[in-house]
Order: sequence, then C-alpha cells, then structure tokens
Amino acid sequence: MRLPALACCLVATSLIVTGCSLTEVSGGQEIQVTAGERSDGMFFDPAEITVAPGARVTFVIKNEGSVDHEFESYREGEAGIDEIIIPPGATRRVSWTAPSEAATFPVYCDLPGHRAAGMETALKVVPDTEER
Amino acid sequence: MSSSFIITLREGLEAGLIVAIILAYLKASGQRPHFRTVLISAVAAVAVSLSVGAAIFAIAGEFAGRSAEAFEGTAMLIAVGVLSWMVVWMKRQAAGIKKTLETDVAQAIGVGSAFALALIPFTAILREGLETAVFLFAATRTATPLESTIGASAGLLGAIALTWGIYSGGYRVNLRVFFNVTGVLLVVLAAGLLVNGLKELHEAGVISNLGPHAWDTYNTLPDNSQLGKFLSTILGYDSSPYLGLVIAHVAYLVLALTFFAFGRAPSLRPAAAASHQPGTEAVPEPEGS
Repeated sequence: MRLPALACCLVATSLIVTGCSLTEVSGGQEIQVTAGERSDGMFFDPAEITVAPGARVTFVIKNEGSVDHEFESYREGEAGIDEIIIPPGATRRVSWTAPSEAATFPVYCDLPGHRAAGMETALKVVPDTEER
Repeated sequence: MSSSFIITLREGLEAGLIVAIILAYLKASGQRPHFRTVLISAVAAVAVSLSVGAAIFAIAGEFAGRSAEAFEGTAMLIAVGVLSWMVVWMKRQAAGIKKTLETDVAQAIGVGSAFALALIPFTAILREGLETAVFLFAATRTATPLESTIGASAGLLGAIALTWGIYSGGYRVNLRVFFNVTGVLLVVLAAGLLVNGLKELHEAGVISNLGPHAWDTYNTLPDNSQLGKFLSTILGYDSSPYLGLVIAHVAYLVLALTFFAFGRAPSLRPAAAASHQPGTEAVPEPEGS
C-alpha cells in the first residue's frame, strides 16, 4: 500500500474513532433513574442515590411521564450536572464524576412547578460505597 | 470558544480600521501631533467598554435560579438584535464611513478642538466595544469561562495583528471577503443564540409554550456529548428541539441571510488594490459598525 493511501486510511480510522468518542455519553457504573408524575405529584426514582468519592458514573434517566422533565444540579455549590431535557417516553444519559470528599447534592427538575411537586433526588457521595 | 474568537476578531478589526483610517488621514494631512489624542481616546473607549462588560457580568451574578435564566435569555435576545443590526443594517450604511470619518476629523481640526477630535474615535470604538461586551456575555452563557477567554483573547490578538499589518502596508487582505465571511458566520452564531435565548426564557417560565418536540436525534448525536455541546454552542443544536424553536431558527436564518445577501454592498476596496500613497490609500473602509 502506498504511503498516501496508508495515511488516508489512518486519518479515516482516527476520525471514526474520535467521532465515536465525541458523540458518546458513557463511563463507569450505570445508574438507572426513572422520572414521571403520579397522583400525589412528580418524582425521581430512586429518591436517593449514593456513589463513592471520585467515582465515574452514568445516570440513565427514563421519562415515563406524559410531560417534559429535566435532570440537573448546576447551581453554585451543587453537583455541576448541566441541565438536560427528557421528553416523554425518552431516555437520556448523563455522565458525572463524584468529588473526592463526602457531600450531598440535590438533583432536580427545574421546569416551573416540578421541583416543588417533589421532583428531586439526593445525590450522596459517601466513602466506602460500592453501589447505590 | 469559536464564537468568542469570531466576535472579537471581527469587532476588533472594525475598531482597529476606524483608528487606522483616522491616523492615515492625519498622517497624510500633516497632522501627526494629533496621533496622541486619537490613541488616548481609543484606549479610553476600550476601557469604558471593558467596564460596561464587567458591569454586565457583575449584574448577572446577582441573579439566581429562574430570574438568572430570564436575565440570560433576555441578554441573548438583545445580543441577537444588536448583532443583526450590526451585520445587516450597517452593511447598507458602511459605504461612506471612510469619507464621513475623514470629514469629521477635518472639521474638528479646523475648529481647533481636541475634544471634538477625540470624540470621533471614542464614539466609534465605544460602539464596537459595547456590541462586543453584549455579545460576549451572551456567548459565554453556553461555553465555559476558560473557553470564552481563550477564544476572545485570540480573536483580539488576531485583530490587532491584522490592523497593524494593514495600516503599515505589510498585509494585503481582501476586506470585502473577510467581512462577508465573518458576516455570514455571525448570522449563523446569532441564530444559535436566538434558539438558546428562547430556551432560557422557556425554562424561566417567561415563554409558556414552544410547541411539541419536532424530532429526536439523541441516539444519533446526543446534545450533551462533546460534539453535541460544541454544536449547541455554535449552532444552537438540540437533540429534541421544540417546534417553535425550529421555526424561529429557520425564519431568522432565512431573513437575516437574505438581508445580508441583498443589502447594498459597501464600497470597499481590497487592501491589495490599495496603493500608491502609503497611509492614505492602504486603509480601506470597514464594512460593519
């Protein structure tokens, strides 16, 4: 194989590999979260999530409700999870690395009225945690 | 980072060309002693612009939660308006800016007023600076402070280098092409800002309904992946956009690009064609504000 052709193959391969990593949202343990509405309000299930310090995790959030929901914790002093909208019936993935020290952060839906209706889960960073 | 770079590169070059036009005119008319007045007023305009920019960021820091989203969304929409005005409307006005600046400078020197002379570059550069401040604030809402700082600094350095090169006659840049390309890029950026601004206002509850989701491409290109975030910052990409956002995005792009394409072309002469009297002919007119 000539050098230019080899170079083209290498570039194409690296582009494909790089392109894949640029479009993936993954890493570490997957934590399943369900979002939705019920008769007494709105919810995230589980209502409490525990991870180990420094752990890399990926939240897999499924919206089983009939309206949009958000998953976020990005205000000052919070977990630093950017907001993401989850349409009804859709699933979204959010990767996050826990801080190295124990902490508790609120993760919530910030759409008007949703957090007040109960749509919040406590994200706890606890030493010696193996799984939530 | 890319949007901050384009903004400061273009706005910086426009401000630089204004100074270059005035200095070239003063040099050609034997008024070199007035260089100091022009340069001091230019520095003052930059300082005021920086202060206004810092004030905008400080005011934004006072808001939290829903009011912060409303403030950011409003700032983004203002930036879209300012940018649209700058790129499209000013294209129609720019044809005579070189002549206007030279006439104003001649009149100020004629009446012997250093203040009047200082006011000319000051107001022109302040306008560029305020536009940059508003637009940078809006752009940094969707990028990290580090990315925005690196991009804006690189753009500014590029603008200073280009301005100096053009003024000294070393660079031969086709400014018509430069301003047309950056003009289109800025319209595309503004369309993305429009979408992000409307989203902020929707999340703040200011806009109650943007319609159903038009489609869902999350499994193909998640908007929270690295590539998705980049496209979201630049183009307003959304994996599952609301129909109202799609309509606003397309309508803005069509309208702005149509006005941009069919607006009156400025009488720019490429620097490459400029020539025999260095310092006078070598500085072409800027296109935008």
